[in-house]
Amino acid sequence: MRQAERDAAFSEYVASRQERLRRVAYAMCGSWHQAEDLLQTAFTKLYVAWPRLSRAGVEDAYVRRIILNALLDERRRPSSRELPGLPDRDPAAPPGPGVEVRDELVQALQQLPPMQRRTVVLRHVADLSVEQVAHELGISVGTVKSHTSRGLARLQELLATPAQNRRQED
Amino acid sequence: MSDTTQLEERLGTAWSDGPPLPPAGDRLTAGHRALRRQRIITSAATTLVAVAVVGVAAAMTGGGGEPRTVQPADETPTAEPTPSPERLPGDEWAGYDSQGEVLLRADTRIVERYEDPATEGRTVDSVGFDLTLDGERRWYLLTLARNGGSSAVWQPYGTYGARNLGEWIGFQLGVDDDPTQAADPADVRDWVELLPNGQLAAVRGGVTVVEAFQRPDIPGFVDGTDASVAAALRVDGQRYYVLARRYADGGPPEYFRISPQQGGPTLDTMLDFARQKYGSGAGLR
Repeated sequence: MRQAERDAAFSEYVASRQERLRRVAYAMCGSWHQAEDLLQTAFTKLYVAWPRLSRAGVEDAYVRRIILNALLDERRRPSSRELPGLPDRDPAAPPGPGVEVRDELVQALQQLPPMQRRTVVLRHVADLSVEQVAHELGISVGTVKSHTSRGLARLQELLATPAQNRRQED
Repeated sequence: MSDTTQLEERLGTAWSDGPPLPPAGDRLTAGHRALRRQRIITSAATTLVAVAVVGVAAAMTGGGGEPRTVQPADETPTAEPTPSPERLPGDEWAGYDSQGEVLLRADTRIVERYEDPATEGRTVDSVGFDLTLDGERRWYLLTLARNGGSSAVWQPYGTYGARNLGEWIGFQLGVDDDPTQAADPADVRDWVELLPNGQLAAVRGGVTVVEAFQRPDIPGFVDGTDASVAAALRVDGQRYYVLARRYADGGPPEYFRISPQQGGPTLDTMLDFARQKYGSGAGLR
């Protein structure tokens, strides 16, 4: 593949997909800054492997996997235990009626166990089918369903609890 | 509308804002830099290998063939092999050399390559391969640790009924395909914690440590001063085995879950299973 073709195809892909993929990263990590860092890392790796991955049509799956793997690594470092939405770390999101609702939802998502968070985000934020989630995570359809169901139930509990109480529980 | 449906809708629509995205050109620039770095590294490694091979060619005879350093798979996946001064052991088709470069046995053909499937924590590089050689086909997963140690695990194409390389790698990383084992290894941290004194403690109700051995004898699992424990657990009525370790040089504990289907009926059979996995170089990831 010539570099000009590669660049054009990659740029077109980024332009069309980066907003949706950043939502997935943000939903997983709860920080716009970290989501942007994760996405940039993933896109850089994607570019290096672009000819093979684009031929296989697995660009989105590859980016999501990089994001999930990097995030798992970050979560294992004590310094990453910060609450989302800190004013000195996150750029101000544009004002709008959805911001408070979204922040509450993001905070609740961060409190789910890792696999429940992955399945809920991939199913309902990335909008993948149960079968696609199963394929991406290498687990069965039944396992996806059970994690998603338990994750949604836990999210409902968390959202029904005032945020102040949730932080005291942590 | 049910609560669940409302929540699902909320999850699907709550992300419409956020800071402005950088232009695609910025992503492209970062990609160009990364590709240049990779080409420089590969080129330097190939040059060194070409020089070194002059002196060692006479010693490189016998079975196994000459390994080649791997060019970026997306560029020239079936490029001519470059001789390397380092040999792959025995019947191996792929592995890392002492410099952390991936070697492939001569004449292997790459059907598929999967970058970084297990790169996290102490694993600083990893790659999966679907390879063929002389009519035989294997799936490989290579991992390189921060301390320079590496592992190569392979199985014949189609093992576990996996439909492709990615699915097989998922199995190797411990994300099993059994719906009755509905927990990720990461979830073990929601069950137990390896305490500073080396004991394993349950962290929630419904979890019982049935039996535990501190510092189990599993060569390759830990070094002399690292903390480790092997345990049988009962979690919400289901039996599991767990291996946990904490390296003496710091970092959080690592946990590995083993199902009774893998580990057998007792903690002793599970330890045999773990010894076999580590003895083969595969480990439990």
